[in-house]
Amino acid sequence: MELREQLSEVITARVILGAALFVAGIAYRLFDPGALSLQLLITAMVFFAANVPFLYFSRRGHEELVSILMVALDTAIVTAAVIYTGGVLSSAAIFYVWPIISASLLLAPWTPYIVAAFCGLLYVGVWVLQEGNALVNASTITGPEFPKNWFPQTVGIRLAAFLLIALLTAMLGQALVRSNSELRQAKMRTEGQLEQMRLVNEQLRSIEETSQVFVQHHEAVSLMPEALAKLGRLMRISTGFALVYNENTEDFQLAARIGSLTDEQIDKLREAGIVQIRQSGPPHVCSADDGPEVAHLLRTIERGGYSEIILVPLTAKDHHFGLLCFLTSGSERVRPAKLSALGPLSSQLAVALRNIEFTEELARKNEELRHLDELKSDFMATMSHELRTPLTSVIGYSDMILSGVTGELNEKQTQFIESILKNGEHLLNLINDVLDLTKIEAGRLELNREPVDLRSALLGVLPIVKPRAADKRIKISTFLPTDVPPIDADPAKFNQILLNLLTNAIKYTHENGSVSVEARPKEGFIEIWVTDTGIGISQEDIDTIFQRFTQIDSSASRSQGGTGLGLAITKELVDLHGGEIKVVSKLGKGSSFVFTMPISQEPADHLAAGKIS
Amino acid sequence: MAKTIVVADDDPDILSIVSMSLETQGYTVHKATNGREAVDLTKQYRPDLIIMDMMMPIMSGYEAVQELKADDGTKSIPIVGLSAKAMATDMERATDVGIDGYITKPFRIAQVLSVIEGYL
Repeated sequence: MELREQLSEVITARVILGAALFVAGIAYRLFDPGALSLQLLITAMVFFAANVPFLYFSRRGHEELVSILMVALDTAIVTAAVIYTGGVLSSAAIFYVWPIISASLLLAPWTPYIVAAFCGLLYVGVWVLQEGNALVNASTITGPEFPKNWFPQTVGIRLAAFLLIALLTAMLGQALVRSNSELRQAKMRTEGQLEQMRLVNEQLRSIEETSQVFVQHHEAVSLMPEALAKLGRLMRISTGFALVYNENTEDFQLAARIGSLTDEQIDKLREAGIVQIRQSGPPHVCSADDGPEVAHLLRTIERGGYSEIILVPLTAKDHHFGLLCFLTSGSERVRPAKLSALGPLSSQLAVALRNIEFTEELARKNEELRHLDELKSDFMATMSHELRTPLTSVIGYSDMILSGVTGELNEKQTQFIESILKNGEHLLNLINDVLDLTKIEAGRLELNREPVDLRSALLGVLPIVKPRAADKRIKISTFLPTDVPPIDADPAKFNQILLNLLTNAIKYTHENGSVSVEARPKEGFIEIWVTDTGIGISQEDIDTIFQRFTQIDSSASRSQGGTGLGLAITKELVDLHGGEIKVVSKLGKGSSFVFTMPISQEPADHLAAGKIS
Repeated sequence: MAKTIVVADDDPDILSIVSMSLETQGYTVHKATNGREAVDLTKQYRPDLIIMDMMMPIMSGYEAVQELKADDGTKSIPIVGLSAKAMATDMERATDVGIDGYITKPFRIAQVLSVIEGYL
């Protein structure tokens, strides 16, 4: 609380007290119209009358003077009370504490001691006057008669006690005032800190809000106008422009502007090298200290009615992405606090620009990859076509010669031509498998899913593999539960999976061995086991078995007509259906290929099964 | 009377394989080396079936099929495509222009014979 308010409160209280005393004086006089009641009345009147002008002056800014007068008045009134209530022996002397406390509250820290000393002097004065019988009426009014020699001792003790109390009171008042002012300072400090925190908070929120706006943009073309406008509003500057580095032209290009700057003005600033003044660091207010060119630039803009140039370099990870340039005019002076708030925002903006650049580069790379992928697919399609034509002659002529159209063949000729035909077909299978795999990898293979009945599918596939199994006297058996639900699959692709696995099983199984197909439902899927009693797969081979061109014994398998792509394609097809495939095997005992297919929610159409691509 | 078949292919080897195989089976064969010749031979001989390569010079198989299927006199003659174009999209394209059957190269002679018997 300020001295003025404190004083005015004290004086108001005193005026009220004076009025109350006055009323009490009148009441007392009605009961006892003696001399004392008149004195009380007069004192109350004086007290009241003296405080009213205090109130007036204290409100006009004479706090010091009013305080001194008030202390003086109180001292005088107490002294009068002392004189009129028995002089040195009067209990009213205790009221000297009053002006001392007032002084300690309202005046300089040393004044209570002066006031205390002064009160002491007055008291001694009263004593001296009383001794000299100067205060005639005082001695006659009150006080018992004391033996002459007792008197100085009593007064001495009183004076000492009085001075001690006055001193302690003054010290107490001082301490009160001091702790009060310390409290006030602490309060002010806290308020200052709170204000600071509020400002920081506000800054953070505005940074967050703004940066959220920044990251919503995917192109510099849309980001920069909004960013420039937002930052302009934040700083209360209405004129400015944004330059962004363009990788293609290797130059800074105008990306946005606010206010009434013309292209010509902006070009002039750019020609003067505005980009070179600050390429990194915090926002910067240009001054003549930046060099003669800048000093010249400042003079130039002054002619256009502007007073300051504020440069905000946009830098992220040592890369200069662009520059914001604000021009202030007249009243638009920017406070340093605002300018420093701009720092983090400009960093955010630079990061947003960097992200945009990354995204664009990613999109470019993606497009390149897509194009390469297309080229690869086109190449595969062309290669497939170009290989097929000569292969047609190889297979066609071999076929014709073997059919006997060109005359009888001897045993060796038949054997050789059959070998040409078989190898031609092997080459064809290889082309088909590579084409399949390329299609799957390019994501071009679309599944035509429908409910597929396992039993019907097996009935379609088994006749194809049975002749080969019969050649090796291999027994094929199937174990399907009677109520096995249909699976959700592309029938042709599912048949391809089954065919691949069965062909493999027969291929690697010795004569008189057996191959089985089992199915059982498992957690929304059907688990299908294709088990053989073949050569088995060693643990280290299991890890690579689904990779391309992996065959356990290529020399042995080549004679069987495998391409080394069958299992890779099978795995891709199972994955495409959302299933999984794995191998359980024991070397020399046999293998089980276990794969899962999702169960269909609809009943199977029996006609759909058995299709082969 | 022997059935008549027009065979069109720009590759002389394939043309000879197909025509020889068919002749051995007792069919009468007329050989064309491009789509234009195939159309002309078809209009001249009114064959019972046409075996058509799709990629040929002067006039492609697609164009030839379109022309023959647009002509009331020839549109009922079944046409079997014989092509090294093995992608699903290639077959779709052939079906779209009105082809009746499709065999991808390379082929086995037995396969060709069984397919054409289905249309005769």
